[in-house]
Amino acid sequence: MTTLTEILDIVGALFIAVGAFFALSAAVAQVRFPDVLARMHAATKPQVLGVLLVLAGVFLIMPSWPTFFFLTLVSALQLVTAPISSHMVARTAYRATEWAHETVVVDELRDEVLATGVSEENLRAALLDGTAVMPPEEGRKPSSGS
Amino acid sequence: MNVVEIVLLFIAGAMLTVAAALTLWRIVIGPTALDRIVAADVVIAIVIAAIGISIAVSGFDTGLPMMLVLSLLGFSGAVAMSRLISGSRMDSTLYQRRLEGRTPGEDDR
Repeated sequence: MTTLTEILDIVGALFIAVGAFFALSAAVAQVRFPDVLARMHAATKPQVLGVLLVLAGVFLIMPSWPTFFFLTLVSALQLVTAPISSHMVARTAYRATEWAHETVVVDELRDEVLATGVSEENLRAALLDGTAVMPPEEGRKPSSGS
Repeated sequence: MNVVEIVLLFIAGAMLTVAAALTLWRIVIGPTALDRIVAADVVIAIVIAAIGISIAVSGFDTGLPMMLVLSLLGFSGAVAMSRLISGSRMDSTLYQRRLEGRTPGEDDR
C-alpha cells in the first residue's frame, strides 16, 4: 500500500535522476566536442534543463513553502543568467577567433566581418592561427614601410 | 524513504560523479581559458544538482541558500572572465584591424 507521499518521493527521485543524466550528457559533450562554441552549446541547454529537473524533484520530495520560494528563485536565476553568460562567452570566442572554422558549415557573421574592411586573407590567417589572432609575419610587411 | 527512491538517488549521484570527473578533465586539458570557463559553469551546475540530492537524502533544507549563491556565482564568474579575455585582447583582435591600414604592431614602431 503506497501513500501519496511515497509516490511523490519516487517521482521526485526520478526527476533528480533524469536531471543528473542531463548533467552527465553535458559533461560528455565537454570532453568530446571539438571547440568552444560546440561545447558551450552542449553545456548550457541540457545543463539548465537538468538543473530545473533536479529542483523540481527536490520540491516534490520536500513540498513546503520555503523550499518553493528558494527553488523558484534559483530556477528563475538559472533561466535568466544562462543565456547572458553563454552569449558573452560566444561573443568573446568569436572575436578572439577561438573556434574551429573547419567544422563550421555556415558562418553568418563572415560577410559582416568582411564588410567592415577586414581583408579576406587577414581573416583566413586569423582563423588558421586558431588561438593566435595576430596576423602572420609576412602579412605585416606591406604596411610597415610607411 | 523506500528502496526505489534510494536506488534512483544513488544512480543520480553516480552519474553526477562521472560528470564532474569528465568536466574537471576538460578544465585541466582545456586549451584556452574559454574552455575552462564553460567547463566551470558545468561544474557549478553539477554541484547544484549534488546539493539537491543531499537535500533529498538528508531532509534538511540548509542547502537551499547554497544553491542560490552558486547559481549567481556561475553567472558572474563566466561574464567576468569573458570580459577579461575580450578586454586583454582588445588591441589584437581582427575587429581592431578593420581600421584602415592599421595592423597590430604598427603602433609600436
